[in-house]
Amino acid sequence: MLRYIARRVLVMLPTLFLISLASFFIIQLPPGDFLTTYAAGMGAQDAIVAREHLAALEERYGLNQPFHVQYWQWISNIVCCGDFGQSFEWRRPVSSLIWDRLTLTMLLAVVSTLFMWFVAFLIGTYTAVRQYSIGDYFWTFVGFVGLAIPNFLLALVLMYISFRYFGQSVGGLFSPEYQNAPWSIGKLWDLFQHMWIPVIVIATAGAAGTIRIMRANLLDELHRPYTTTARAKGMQEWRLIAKYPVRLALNPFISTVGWTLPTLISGEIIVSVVLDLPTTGPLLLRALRSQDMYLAGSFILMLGVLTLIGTLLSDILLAWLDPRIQYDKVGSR
Amino acid sequence: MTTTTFTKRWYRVLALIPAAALLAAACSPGTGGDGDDSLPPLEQDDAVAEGQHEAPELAQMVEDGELPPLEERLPTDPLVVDVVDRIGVYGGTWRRAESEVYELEVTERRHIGYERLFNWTPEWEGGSETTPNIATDVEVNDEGTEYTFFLREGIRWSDGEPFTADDIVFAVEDYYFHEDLTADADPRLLVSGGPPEVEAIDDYTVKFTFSRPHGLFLQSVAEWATQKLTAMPRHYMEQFHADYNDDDLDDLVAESSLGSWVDLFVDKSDPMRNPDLPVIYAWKVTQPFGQGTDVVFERNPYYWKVDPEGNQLPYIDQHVVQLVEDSELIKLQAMSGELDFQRTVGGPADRALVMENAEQNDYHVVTMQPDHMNTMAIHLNQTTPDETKREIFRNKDFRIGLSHAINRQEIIDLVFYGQGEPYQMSPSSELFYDEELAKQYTEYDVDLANQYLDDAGYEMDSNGRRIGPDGEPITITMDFANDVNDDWTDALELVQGYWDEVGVRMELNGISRSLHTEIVRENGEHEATVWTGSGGLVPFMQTHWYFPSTQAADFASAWGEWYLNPDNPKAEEPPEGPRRQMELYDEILVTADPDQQVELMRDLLDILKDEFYSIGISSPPEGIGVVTNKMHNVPDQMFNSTSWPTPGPSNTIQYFIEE
Amino acid sequence: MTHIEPSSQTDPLAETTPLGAAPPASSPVGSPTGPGKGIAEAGNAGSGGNLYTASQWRLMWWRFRKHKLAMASGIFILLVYVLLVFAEFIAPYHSSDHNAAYQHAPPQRLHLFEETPDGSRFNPHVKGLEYETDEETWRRSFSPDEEQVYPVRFFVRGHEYELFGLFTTDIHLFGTTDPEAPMYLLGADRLGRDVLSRVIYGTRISMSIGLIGVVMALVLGVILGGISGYFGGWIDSAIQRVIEFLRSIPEIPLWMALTAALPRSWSQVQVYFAITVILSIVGWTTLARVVRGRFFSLREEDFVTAAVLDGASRPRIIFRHMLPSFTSHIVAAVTLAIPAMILAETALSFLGLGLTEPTVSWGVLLREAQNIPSIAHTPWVLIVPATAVVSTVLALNFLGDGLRDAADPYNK
Repeated sequence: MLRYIARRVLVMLPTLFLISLASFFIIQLPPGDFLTTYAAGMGAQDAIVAREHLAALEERYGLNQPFHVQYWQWISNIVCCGDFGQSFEWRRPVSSLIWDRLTLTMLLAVVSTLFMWFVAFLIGTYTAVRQYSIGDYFWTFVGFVGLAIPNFLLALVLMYISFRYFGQSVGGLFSPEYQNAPWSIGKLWDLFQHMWIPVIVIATAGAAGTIRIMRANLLDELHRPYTTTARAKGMQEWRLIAKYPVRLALNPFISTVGWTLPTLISGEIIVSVVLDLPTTGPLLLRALRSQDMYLAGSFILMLGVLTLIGTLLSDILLAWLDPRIQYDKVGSR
Repeated sequence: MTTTTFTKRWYRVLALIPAAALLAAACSPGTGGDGDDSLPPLEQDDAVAEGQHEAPELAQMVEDGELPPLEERLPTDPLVVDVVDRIGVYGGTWRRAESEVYELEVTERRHIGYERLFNWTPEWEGGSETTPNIATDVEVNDEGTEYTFFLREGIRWSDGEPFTADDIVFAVEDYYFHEDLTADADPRLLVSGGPPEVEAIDDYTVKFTFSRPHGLFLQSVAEWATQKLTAMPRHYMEQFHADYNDDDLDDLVAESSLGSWVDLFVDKSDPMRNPDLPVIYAWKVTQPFGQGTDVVFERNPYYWKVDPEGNQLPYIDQHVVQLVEDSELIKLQAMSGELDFQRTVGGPADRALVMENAEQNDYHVVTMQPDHMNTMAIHLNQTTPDETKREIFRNKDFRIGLSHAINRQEIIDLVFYGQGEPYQMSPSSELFYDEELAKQYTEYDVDLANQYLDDAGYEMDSNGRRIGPDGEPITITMDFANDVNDDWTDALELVQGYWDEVGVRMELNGISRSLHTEIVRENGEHEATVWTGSGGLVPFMQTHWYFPSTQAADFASAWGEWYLNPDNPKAEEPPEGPRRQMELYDEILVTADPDQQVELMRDLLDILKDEFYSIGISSPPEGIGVVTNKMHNVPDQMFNSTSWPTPGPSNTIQYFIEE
Repeated sequence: MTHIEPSSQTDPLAETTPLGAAPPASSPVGSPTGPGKGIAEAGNAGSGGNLYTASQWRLMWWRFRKHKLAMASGIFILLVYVLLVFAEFIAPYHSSDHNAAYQHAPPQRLHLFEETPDGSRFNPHVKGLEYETDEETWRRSFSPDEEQVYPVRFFVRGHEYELFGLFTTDIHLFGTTDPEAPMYLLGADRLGRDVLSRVIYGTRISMSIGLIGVVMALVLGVILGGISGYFGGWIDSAIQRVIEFLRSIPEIPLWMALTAALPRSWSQVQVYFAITVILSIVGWTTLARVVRGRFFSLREEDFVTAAVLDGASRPRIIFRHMLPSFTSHIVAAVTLAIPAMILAETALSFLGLGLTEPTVSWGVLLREAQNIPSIAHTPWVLIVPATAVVSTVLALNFLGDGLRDAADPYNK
């Protein structure tokens, strides 16, 4: 096992290098740079930025340097000192910008993933046990509707509904009075009052896929000999289902935990933008749009690294949970 | 080429100069909107406790000995600001939201710190009049080369240090014209025949001397780009300046993890980001931009203006701006009554919804008059890289034909909700309005359009397409920014249809604002683009729609470059007409006599009429802003402008909140 | 599922291969517990067909027919593609036909019977529309004009169009007999364009972008996944690294960079193709993983071993023996990938990338409606395209599910 992990980590290194190169390249691919965005912002209010001013800024930010020089400056600082550079737009260190938003991002990711799993688990179990019943069709349908509605649409409509019919303050995760307040019970409660929309939006989008996996896995297990044996022994149906097949069917859930790793810090970008969540997603999108090089590049790099680690983690977990995979290729028990 | 670098923004003074005239107008920066006379003045007693003319928290601090008493904080002769409606009460938070970083960044200029030597008047009549602010008076010599400002005595920075002539000298010499900082500072408006000589005659007298007349200097100091002239606290900023700090500047730079002392200086002088920076504004930042999603400003105890009853301003304790991710959210928040005063909320399409929710959610709507002269002007780039296209676009008959082909009334009805009238690129202020210039070729007449296009020499082929000089059907690629203005895509789609009718194909290429800047404004590579028309009220200020005065003249970018700098590789020498306009404008710049300046500008506009560079669509509809019913003293109507930095000159300090 | 996450961990296709490096854990192909019951059921479904000689496709069809929801969905999808092909004929107006008089007109009711003094008679018609504009808010309010009756018929004359570039005609499937009369059965948008017609025209881009994108992704995925799965070893490793690399880059930055880098001079049609390519660059990795997983498990099957022992060449083994045995799976996988592409297109439009007006796609229509006034005042501009997207995506998913169930005739 250890050797397997070591080998995987080793082959990850060149991929990491490529990802860092690609992260930096991607943000430079569109024409122009951050200063173009800056000039465009001024231009949008009919203030024309002087050429000299732009030239001075270009010099200052090192934007006139060739690609490899800029890349080296960036990556060497990351590798040597963990310094991800400064954001042009916010004029603050990249790491502190991301760090500021990380708590809420992770909280939201965890809550919505748990909620999604909970829903998917319930529906998945029900639809597998009652395969081809009206209930099966109905709940599968419900699950799929969530998948089929584009996230941003659902988010905006829910927000309008909450404005129109609940009179709740709109967007964000806090009411204005708690926005800048220190943490307290009141603030926490306020947070939970605001969190239902994003949690629902994010969870409905992911639920359908998970329901599918749960249902398929459970169906597999339900027809295995041990289940039949247990049933023949007169074990209570629901207890029986809960005892073995469900537990086994849960394996994939646990094993895919690794894949949720990047989402912990990415934040659901589009949903977060529409709902104005103070998470990292909108920060990334804004940085990409304004070509805020170090912020966007570092962010992409971090996500890439987390994806790699997450995949590795998933593989390890799965191998560990389900020894069949390693040693026995034709899956019989 | 000093003249050309500072030409971009100029102000026209109608009642300009004799300083005495301005003096007479001084002291009372008039009221905006109509006062509600029915309100009894006894409200005032509720407003401020007897004998106490400051906010209760400040009074408490004075009592606790944390702050000097009010008399010591205020100038001997504080500026008295008229209130729009009535005397206010202290307290409350003014909430706003912005979805663009650049909008948030200009909070300083627009909302909390419009503090110049001379400010624009709240009414901004004809975009010309300024009123004493930090300076109480100015003396100008006859040639317009020497300006002596007399500063209000006893104004203090927010840390209690006095504001003196030395601060202005520091701003000019060590910031605007310091060799390392000048590019950041952008001193275009402070130049006339080179940098001025600045001299602090005494603590409260500062003299500017120019080598050539700068007749519009008083207007320049009220302008957008000269904000820093009165925002450099010498006693604080010196420690970040290489000329003044030899000891530990390097350490400070190293500590800040910024690249150079210039970076550090710029960073430290930013009132949006540095809470330690002393300011003379009504509010100063306490939660700077970049930390969290809000920027928070709190009242400055040393603010130096009072209301007519002698109460220290501002009334409002706190100003909070939230950076939101989506502009839809601003609309929703405004409609829930969460934004106390938001200067613009949505476009014409949102108007009905915003108005309909007003009563229920306890807010009302104020109107914003755009200072633009057009909803959307179409610019065919006469210096586009493609030679064939150039030839076509330079053909005036071609442009006239296309103009006649446009059904402006339908665009107005569909896209602008029936508001506005067909309009070309022409000043809208009374002084320069010219019916012919404004209305020429706006008539919708397909036959006439076809006739002009035939005259231009581009015959229609059997497929109904007009053939260009290269034997190919004419296709115009329209590069327009689709994230600036929601209406443009719709209006252009309609124009595309009209032009199809007369055999000219237009490819619509909607791009982002920054890509537009890159292609159009930086490189002039576009064939055609659209923009609104700034400078409609004040032609002296933004001239690039009247003649190619900068690279932003989208109808002939390379000519604009030429005017800025003939040696620029992108520059091209313009033909007779535009060249004559440039000469006229150069003349305006050094003319001190206001009447003569108007005459010269009219000549310049006559050439514009003849050249017909751009195809205008219609005059712009009014915009709306939202004010909660607990927010008072906000004028019902104001200009929406950049040079009159809405809402700053309407005196945001006298707004107040009362539930 | 979401289409914006950097790693789609809930990928519908991933379930048969939840583990990148190992064969499918939950796919019991060849599992000793499977066949008996499955065959019995399939036999029943086949209603008398000879089970043991039936081809795989036939088995699949028998089983698929049982899945009512999937059948209905299949028919629905077919109808959508009919719309796509005959859009000009079926849509009463052209997608860009605008009319200043009917800006934001609400959906009109289609009356089947006309009340005349002599009683009611069958005459499908719509009533005319009148409006008033509020002076202050500039908002229009419409009301039906009971006096004006415009009969609605099949095969009426409207604007001219060219069908398949072959012949020109002005016959439309249905419409008002008076071409000037208003007929906005699903309302009009802000330029007085018929929402119904726009949604119909929108199928063109939206339904084909999914199909073409998936086909491209499929070709890439099958070839590379196949190579990877069959040969294994260092080739597999290399391809796995490429997949890993592509999946590690978050989708949105990748989209943004690629779309921004498209040449400006490209027409909307070229941009459209470029976007399908971009979507499939992101999409092929998923398919490749499915294919690879199947290859891994099939490699161990007896019939492959038999072919190898028989001395068959590698390409022959791959294309003659292995590929056919899991095309059905691929068909299912493709069906499930199309909705992902459709949703990705709407997400791209939301971000303001790729297709923009005046091109009409469902994503563009949704983006136009993605604002508060539309939701509050003219919900039809949002509801109609949203319904189109949601129902199509749903149908494709059910169809895919049905196909996948049917693809494994021996599986229970």
